[in-house]
Amino acid sequence: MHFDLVANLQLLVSGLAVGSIYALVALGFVLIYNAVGVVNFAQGEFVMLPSYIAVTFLLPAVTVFGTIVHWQLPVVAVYLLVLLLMAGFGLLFNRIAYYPLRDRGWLPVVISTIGVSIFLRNFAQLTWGSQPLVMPSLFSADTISLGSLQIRPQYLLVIGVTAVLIAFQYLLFERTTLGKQMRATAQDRATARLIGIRVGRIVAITFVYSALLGTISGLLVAPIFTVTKEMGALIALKAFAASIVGGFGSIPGAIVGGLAIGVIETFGGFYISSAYVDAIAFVILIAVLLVRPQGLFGERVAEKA
Amino acid sequence: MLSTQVQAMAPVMKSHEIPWMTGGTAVKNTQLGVPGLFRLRASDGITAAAMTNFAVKEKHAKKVAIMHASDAFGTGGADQIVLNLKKMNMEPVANEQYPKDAKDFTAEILKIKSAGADALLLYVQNPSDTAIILQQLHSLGFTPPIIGSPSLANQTAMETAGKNANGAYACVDFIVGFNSNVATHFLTEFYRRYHHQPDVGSGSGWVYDAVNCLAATYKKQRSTDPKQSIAALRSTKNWEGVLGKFDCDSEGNMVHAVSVGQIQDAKLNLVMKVTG
Repeated sequence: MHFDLVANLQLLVSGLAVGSIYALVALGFVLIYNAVGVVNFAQGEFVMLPSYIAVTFLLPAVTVFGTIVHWQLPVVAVYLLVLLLMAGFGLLFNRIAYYPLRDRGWLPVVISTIGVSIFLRNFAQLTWGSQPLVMPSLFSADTISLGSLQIRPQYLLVIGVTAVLIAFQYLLFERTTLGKQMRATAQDRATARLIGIRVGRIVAITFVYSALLGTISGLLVAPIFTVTKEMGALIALKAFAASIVGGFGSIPGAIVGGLAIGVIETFGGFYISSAYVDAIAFVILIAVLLVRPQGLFGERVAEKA
Repeated sequence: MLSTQVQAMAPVMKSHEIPWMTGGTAVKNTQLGVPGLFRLRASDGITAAAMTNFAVKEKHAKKVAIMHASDAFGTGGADQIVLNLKKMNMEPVANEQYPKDAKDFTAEILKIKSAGADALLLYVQNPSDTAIILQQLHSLGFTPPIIGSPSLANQTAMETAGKNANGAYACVDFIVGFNSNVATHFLTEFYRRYHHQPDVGSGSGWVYDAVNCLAATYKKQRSTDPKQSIAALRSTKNWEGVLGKFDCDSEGNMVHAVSVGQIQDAKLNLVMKVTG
């Protein structure tokens, strides 16, 4: 196959956009894992639920519980409303799925997050039905043409917003007291409590922040992927792989892992075979784990004999 | 029952000689040796032949590309298209299979474009996948004719795809507006009861036909004896259902015709009828 610069640039933009979504969801995984030491298997539903809520208020007519509703609101109001509702959902999730089980080890919490995931998917099906919904794009044009290169503005938005969020997260963790408290809690909860950090509150804030990351991912990706109850599941699976490739618990690892999987699977689909796109992602995962079990940015954990 | 269930249950079905009615379109279904199995839709063999013929003979395509899902429906349909292209001494210039739940099709579409395809045959079942593929084909500037399997004209797929589906063709069992009296009655009654249009081709039409065809057989022979029913169903000739005239062939296939339609504003308009 001859080298086609335009096709390669097109693949790069798509790969970075898809990888950005994996990275955002992977960040959600990592933040919760660092804060409470468990994997949140409902992370994909943190993407799906806000997408459904947004589409309910963005479309002129949507069927909710079998009744057609006309709840259309201005775009900005919808985005703010969804962020607000999902912040509340993050608190509720912490209170219901994590808090009552926090002293019972990691397994009950993991099972609890799986339970919430199943519940939310079924809730979505009962509420909005099984038909996919289309979230309107913020852009009137489907594509921007740069010579022969055709780029979807939504993809550029995904990449741009992810870059801004990564910068925001860096500033939050490095420059603010709240961020430092979150880092301290992630590193050692017992010590954080001893030095006066209100660990319960920080954990709750982490759940809210993670829910908001999922919400932003959902709002970014819904105009491209359509809104279905399964939309978050595959993203979460790839994001989980991304966070392992990057080194579970590592924030830069989640970002690099997400972008790497997005870009490699897009190029792999073109140059190897589109049938093996999913396999490519997981082959990378296995290869990284074989060569570097702690992931690209993870720290080696040594155990005393 | 659809193709996956039929193929998984074939050993059990063989040992129970009762009428089994399927809407599964995979060619293989009725070749599994299940004595009482009847298919109430056109098989993928007929649909794929109609799609290929339409692309090559009507749209004068010289470089046909295929894009399909990795499930039994998608791969079975794509295999039939390849078979039909071979009969015309042609090979697909690209044959892109995508995994379940894929959401970004840039790689597949760019491969199809870079192969210089002048027609794309789509074999995809999931309405959400169909809508996303059509959206991305549109945004990546793919302009040659797109010809799809019946699910391309699934009402949900057409509504979800919106303007991106305009101009695409689909080979279907049924097109609203070109139906028999039985179909008109079914459509009217369905709408009166459920307040929305049914997905006749790939959805409720064949199920309605299955129940009625079986009921008509029981009435005619005044018995529900399974073996007698199978024999009676095998002799079905000119029975009128929602999806057209039913004539049972030696494999148990009842429907032998499809129509090609073109999508405009979530509505399928008849282009031509094809008999397999």
